[in-house]
Amino acid sequence: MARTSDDGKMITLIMPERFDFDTHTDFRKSYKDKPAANQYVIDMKNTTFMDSSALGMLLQLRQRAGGTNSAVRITNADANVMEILGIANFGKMMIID
Amino acid sequence: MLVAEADNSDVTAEMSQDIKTLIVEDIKSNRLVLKCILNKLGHRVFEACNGEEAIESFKQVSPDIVLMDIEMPVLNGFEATRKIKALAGDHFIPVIFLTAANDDNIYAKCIESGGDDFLGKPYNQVLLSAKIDAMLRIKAMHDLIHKQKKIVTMHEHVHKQDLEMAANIINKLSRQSHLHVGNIKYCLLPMDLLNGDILLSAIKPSGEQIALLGDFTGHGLPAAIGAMVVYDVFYAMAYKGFPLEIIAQELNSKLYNLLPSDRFMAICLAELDPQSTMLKVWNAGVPDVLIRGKEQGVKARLTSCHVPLGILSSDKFVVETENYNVSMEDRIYIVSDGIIEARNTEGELFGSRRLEECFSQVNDPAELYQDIKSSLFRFRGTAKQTDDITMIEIICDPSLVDREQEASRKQDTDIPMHWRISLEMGTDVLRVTNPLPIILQAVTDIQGLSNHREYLYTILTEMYSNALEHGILGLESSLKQDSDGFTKYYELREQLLGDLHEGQINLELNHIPVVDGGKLTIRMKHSGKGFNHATLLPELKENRAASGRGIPLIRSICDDMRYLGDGSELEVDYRWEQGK
Repeated sequence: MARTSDDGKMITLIMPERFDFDTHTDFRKSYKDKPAANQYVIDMKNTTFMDSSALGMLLQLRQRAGGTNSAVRITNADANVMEILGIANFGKMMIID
Repeated sequence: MLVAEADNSDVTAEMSQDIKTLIVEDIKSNRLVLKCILNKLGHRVFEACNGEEAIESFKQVSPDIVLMDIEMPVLNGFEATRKIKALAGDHFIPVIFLTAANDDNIYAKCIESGGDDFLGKPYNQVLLSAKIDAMLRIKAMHDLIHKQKKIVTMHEHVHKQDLEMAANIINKLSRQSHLHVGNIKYCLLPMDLLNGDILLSAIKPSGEQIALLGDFTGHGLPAAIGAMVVYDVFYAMAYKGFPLEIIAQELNSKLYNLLPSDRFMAICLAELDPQSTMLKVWNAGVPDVLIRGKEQGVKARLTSCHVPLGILSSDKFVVETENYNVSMEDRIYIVSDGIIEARNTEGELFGSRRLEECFSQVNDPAELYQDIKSSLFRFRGTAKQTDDITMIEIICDPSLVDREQEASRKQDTDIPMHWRISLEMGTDVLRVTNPLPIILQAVTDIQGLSNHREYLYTILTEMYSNALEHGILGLESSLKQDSDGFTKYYELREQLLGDLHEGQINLELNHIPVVDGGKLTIRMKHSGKGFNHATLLPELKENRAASGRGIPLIRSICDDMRYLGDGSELEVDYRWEQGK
């Protein structure tokens, strides 16, 4: 799932088609044992489904990266995913491209 | 475990010592040959010479494995095997048929009657030994699964009991809920035993009807525990007349401290004033709140404008409600996402479009609630329910709500009395706490005044911010001019407050009876620099100062306002009349 940038300060994670409770283990594994990056980029190009536990995972990741609004950046989200992020107003917690 | 990992030969040797084998064979010489082979393998051998004896022997001896001939007097091998397998029940007792015939049909019939394998004559020791080993391996695996199944069933049973107990507690808590009032229709359809959604309603002492719909991440026990906290806080505060914003703040604070970082609660709070003309809504993470009027269609949508509860710390948490004028024919609909995200057998979503279609298609508003439910169930068909489904309809008709009965829950002390509260807040208090809700609570407990709660809280908050931020921290409100400045202001505030090592605020509330009611005098003095209040006041009177919005606000609520001494002391008078 992970792909690190050259300086290790930005890590990109590509999410699966279903980003839900079952993703939990893989998600945590992809950043747990590495040093915390300054920014995590979450690439949702493959994702068609997301539930509230996914939102929770994003929050946890945000906390790990320092708890600021630029800690997590979400890219390539489709309309469904954008709607979920919109209702939860996550645009106020992280960068959504 | 034992069978899969250990070396075969060890296992065989170990197992052979304990194996009880039953030989069912009518010809004595054949029996003897087999007995000989089996004894060499270390088995304990039992014999039967026909099917009926076999069954008796099986009952008495409980063998681990059976070698079964087919052609026998009294009862043949097929019948005997059927009966033995039935007697064995859940346990796996392998039956190996002994047959001379080299006939596929016979072989098939052996398996069909419950046999597990067959051995041809003349009996081959090596082959027999191998087949027995294979059977015993399967048996060991079977026994292991059986044992594990029993453990799992026991755990499931205990878990179910835990959930039932939690559900009972929640039921007791929800009996306080005022969902059974004349203007409310609701449905709570949890996916499991424990609902991850909450639906609460209360009538405040001053007559407002307040409702809460909450949706926790996840289900089961963690959501239920969070729910208990929400019930507690909501009812305690609603029946004491706390403003919606303060209830939201307290709920957020409690959930933020209680829940782990990946858990939160989407919430919608809605409040109707006693005349049901003004709706106040705060939607933080639930689907659009929909309003229907007399006409078909959606009259208004109130969209989620804030992150759910339990995510932001108290200092970053700001509540801004949406206000909407309603009339008696209006109906408010609040749903959790279980309705929007319900799927049918084709995997399609019910969606907000279909929900809003109900609004357009139903002519009589009184039928809309039921129509939404019917549409949803029709759409879902035989597909399984995958989330909790929660919906509430609130009709904005005050005559349907028996407020007298509800309001009498809390007896207000309407008799004005003499009392005084004096509070000195030192540096550590200023740095760490906001004491105002407690002060307000004390005022209410002593003197009632729940109708005036919002005003009093506003006065206290503005005076306190003023004293703390301008007086002690020395912040200039001109910083708050633009949106960037706003953020900078609060960052600076946090920083200065954290570094604060000296400073004090004194608060005094003095209450006396006057004609027809009471007068509350609030005085706040800070230890910072004063200012030339005489010159500043005219500017404030005309509201010319762009920032410093707080002081004119206080001025508009209070009956009188004055600065004392060097300007570091502000005193206001608030009068109230009995019966208002």
